[in-house]
Order: sequence, then structure tokens, then C-alpha cells
Amino acid sequence: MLNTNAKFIWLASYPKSGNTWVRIFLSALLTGKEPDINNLATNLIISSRQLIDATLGFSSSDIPEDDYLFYRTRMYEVYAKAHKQEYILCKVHDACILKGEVLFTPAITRGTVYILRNPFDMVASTANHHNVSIEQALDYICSPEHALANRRTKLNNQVSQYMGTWSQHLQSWENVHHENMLLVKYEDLVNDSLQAFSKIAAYINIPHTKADVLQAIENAAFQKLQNQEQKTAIKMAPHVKKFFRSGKVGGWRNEITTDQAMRIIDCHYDALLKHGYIDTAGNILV
Amino acid sequence: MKYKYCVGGITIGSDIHYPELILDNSHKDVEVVLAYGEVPETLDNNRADFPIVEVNEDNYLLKIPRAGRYWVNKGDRITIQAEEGATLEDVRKQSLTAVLAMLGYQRNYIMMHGGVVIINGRGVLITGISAMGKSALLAALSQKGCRVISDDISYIQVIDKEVIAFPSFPRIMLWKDSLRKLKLKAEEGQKLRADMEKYFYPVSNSAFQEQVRIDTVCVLTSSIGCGLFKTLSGLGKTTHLRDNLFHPWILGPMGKSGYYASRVLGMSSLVDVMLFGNDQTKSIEELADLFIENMTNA
Repeated sequence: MLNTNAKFIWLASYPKSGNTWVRIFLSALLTGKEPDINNLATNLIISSRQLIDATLGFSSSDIPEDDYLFYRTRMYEVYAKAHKQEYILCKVHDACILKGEVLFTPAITRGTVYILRNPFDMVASTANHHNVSIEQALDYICSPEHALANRRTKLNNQVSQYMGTWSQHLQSWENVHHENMLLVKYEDLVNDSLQAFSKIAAYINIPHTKADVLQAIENAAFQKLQNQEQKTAIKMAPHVKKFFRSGKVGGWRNEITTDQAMRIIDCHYDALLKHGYIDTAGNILV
Repeated sequence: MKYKYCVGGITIGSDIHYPELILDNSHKDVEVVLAYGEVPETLDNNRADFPIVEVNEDNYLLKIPRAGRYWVNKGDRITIQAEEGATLEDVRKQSLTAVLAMLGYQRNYIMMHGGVVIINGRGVLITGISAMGKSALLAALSQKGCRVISDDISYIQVIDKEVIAFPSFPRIMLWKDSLRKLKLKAEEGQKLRADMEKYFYPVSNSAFQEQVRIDTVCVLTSSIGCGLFKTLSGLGKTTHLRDNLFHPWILGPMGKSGYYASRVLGMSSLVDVMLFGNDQTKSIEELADLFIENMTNA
């Protein structure tokens, strides 16, 4: 049930879990058009430095990040207040809890769509995105300290986003928003697109027909996105050779070793089991 | 007062030593006093809703955690109160960014977010949102012999139908990675804060105080291909100038939105405005070469 007193609908996920795909779908559904991947109607990201500066009232790059961290919830409130629309769709890669503080409190949250992808496929995509080995990508998703844009020697157009491990990230959102959160599996978006995407549209309360959803799914099809990417670089990842890869479920079998898959299970056993990605014996089900 | 500085054409008197600022050796009277003193914790009639900034028509109050409070009052006084335990060096240097820009707004300057460089005699304002690479480009242009007269905050006035930039102070703010890319030595700069890797790096033309006519504004953007230029016209010019005012969100609470909308409109009719693509897929050297080439041939 959406909290209609608040505006933010978080499109939350660990990176490389299909967040961009969902936002492209929503953009297609909201506009009725084939989206321009560099100019989505749903391209707001909560870590944007521009957003942070405008709500802090000051250049965030002129003070240490820790010094404004605890104002972030208040800053999001300022942002929501200043924007007149009924709801604000916003991409989030941060974990919901940082250093014991809830960053995205229920009070400022209208709803949360959490996009979950099995880490076996995700890790190969992560390696491609960061141009690192599978082993390094595994280090990322198993590190409690894992964060994006947290290099302190350069200015990034986003502030740092602490994520922790794949399962810590998921738990942080489940713990805070379990009463008002739609968890969508990437695998369902691929295998049962109509139902999975319809659920998202219904949860957010976007008026739609079955035909609208089918059209938006078609407009957000991987082939179309790959065609766009061939013609124009993706602004949010200008250094990545191929942002839209195959997107297939189970592709991990050709990309990571059994030992690497076992390491993922060791690291995330409970969450994998809870969400049906493994059975109790540790067999991978995806 | 021990020191008299010139910043953006404004004469500032202070007992605080700022090696970053240009000393004013003229006979001009002091227009602004900058001093340590008592600063209120909050403003009466605060019109803003920011966590560390309060604003009304005549006052700007900045509260920087672990540094101090900074109060800019009626365009003629800046007062700084250090927070207990803060390093005075950090406290002092933090006054060199937004605080000086707010002084400019209170004195009705058009404060642009970016720097001004002179390329073959042409004054060019380089602006754009944070993290677009403005300062790194300015530093690269400086290395190639172009004179940089301001960075981060630029003091602009329209005088006799000309857009005029006033030098601020001869430092460029660069992050450690940018210093490395530019082959500059971090030890030649000074950290903005002891616990940050952001440096005030000196540019060579330290005593430059002349006004410079601006005929071109370049907006750095990732929305066009890296190294490409796109000339804007009509409303596009005004929108980009307005969006790149320094901290434009301050103007509403200051009660100056309408005033600056009109000033920017006037400015936009007197300058060329173009986009310059930078998604950081080209080296800073290449970008600087392309920039100089375009500005020389345009």
C-alpha cells in the first residue's frame, strides 16, 4: 500500500540488476514512446551531486562527505517539497541503512520497487561494467564496504553510495520497507515480462492497459536498447564498451567457474535460499 | 586593518592573512570588512530550507560542520566564527568559495559558477554543473599559456553593453586525480581542508587585476560528443546562463530571482553561448587543444 503522504518511489537495486531496464520500461509506459536511453523521463538518481547541492544549499564538494551525510534524509524532504508532482520516481543504489542511520526513511517514502537479480548472473555483468575480472567483481559483491563513486581524490557527478554486500543491501531495504515494498526479480522480468512489469505499473499506480504494458515492454526490448547503444554512447557509463549485454538468465554458466559460484553461495547463502536462487543443499536453481 | 584585498573588483579589508588573495595597492576605500567575530546561530526571518545555509534579503549564514559559521551581511561585512576544535587554516580557507560568491550577490554582481580565461585576447567564461571538468580545463589552458582570472566563482557585470569579468583570485581548485593528470605537484597547492584531497593550486599570473570583456560563454556538458561544440541561440542561451549561476537556489530566498532573471537575459544578448562536450573520454590535454583551436578560429 503506497504511503500517499510522501512522494518518493524508490527504484532500488544493487547495480547491474536491471534498474535501468525498469526505468526505461517506466519511461516508455509514461510517455507512450520508445525512450531515448540518454534522456529518460525516469532518469533521476538520488545520489546526483546536483540534487545534493541544491538541497544542501551549498557545494557538497567543498566539505567532507561525512559532514553532510546525516542531513541527507532532510535534504530529500526539501527536494520533495520543492517539486509539485504527485510522486517522484528515483533510482537508488545505496543500501537503505548507512552507519546505523536509515537514509530513506518510511516517512519520505511513497513506495519502493526493489529489483533483485541473482548474483551469479549479476557478477559477470558487474565485471563487464567495471572492466575488472570476475574475481574482482566477486570481491565487490562480497565486501561489506563495497561502495560506488567513493574515491576521495576526485570529484564525481554522484556522491558516494555505500552498498555493502549483495545480501546486506537486500536486507537493508527489506528491514526498513518490508511493509511497503514490491520486490521484483530480474528473472521474472525476463521470463514473464507481462506479469512482472504489470505488477510494477500497478504498484506505482500508473494507469495502464495490458496493451500499454506490452507496447512499453516492446519499446524497452533489449534488442532496441542495443541498437540505440550502437548509435550513441550511454551518458551514464561513457567508458563501458557494452552497457546492454545479453540480459539472459542463467548466462553465468558460461561466464563464471563452479568455484566462483560456490564463493557466492558461501557469502550469501541465507538470502539466496530465501529468494529461491538455491535449494537447501546449495544447488543453484537459476 | 592589516590587509586590503581586491576580489571581483571589491576592496576587502581584513586583519586575516589570505595568501590566496590579491593585495589591493590602490587608494580605494575598503568596501567590505572581513573579520573573526560573533556569528548568530540562526537568522531571523530565514527564508531558506537548507540544513547548513540560512538566507534572507540582507544576510547569508553558512554553518559548515567542524569548521565554523560564516555570516555575510548587507554586502559590506563578512564575519567568521570558528567552531571549537576547528583548525583556523581550514576555517579561513572555507571562506574562499560560497561566502565570497554571496558577497557578490549582495553587491548585485552576476555570479557565475565557473572560471574565466583569456585565449588570444578573448575573454571566455567556462561554466557547467559540478564535476564537468571546468577547473581541470582551466588548469590545462593555463599550462598552455592562457591567463586564468577566476575559477569556481566569477564576478560579472554588464557595463555599457559589455559583459565584464572581474578577477577573483589566482587559484584553481583541483582534486588530487586532476593534479596527477595535469602533471602538477600537490605540494605546490594547499588543501581546501586538511581532511580533503581538494587543493587550491596557484596560477602564475598572480597579480592580475584588470577587468576582462567576455564575448563567449562555454557550458561544459556531457550531452554532446566529447570535444564537440554546439552554438546556442534564443532561449537556450538564457536557460544555460541562468542554470549556471552560482548556487542559483539561493536567489529565491534572497528575493532576487526576478532581478537576476532580467540581468541574465540582458547578459545573454551580449555574448555567444556554446556547449562544449566533455564526457571525459578524451584527455584533458586534447580538450584544451580543441578548446584553444575553436576559440582562436571562431
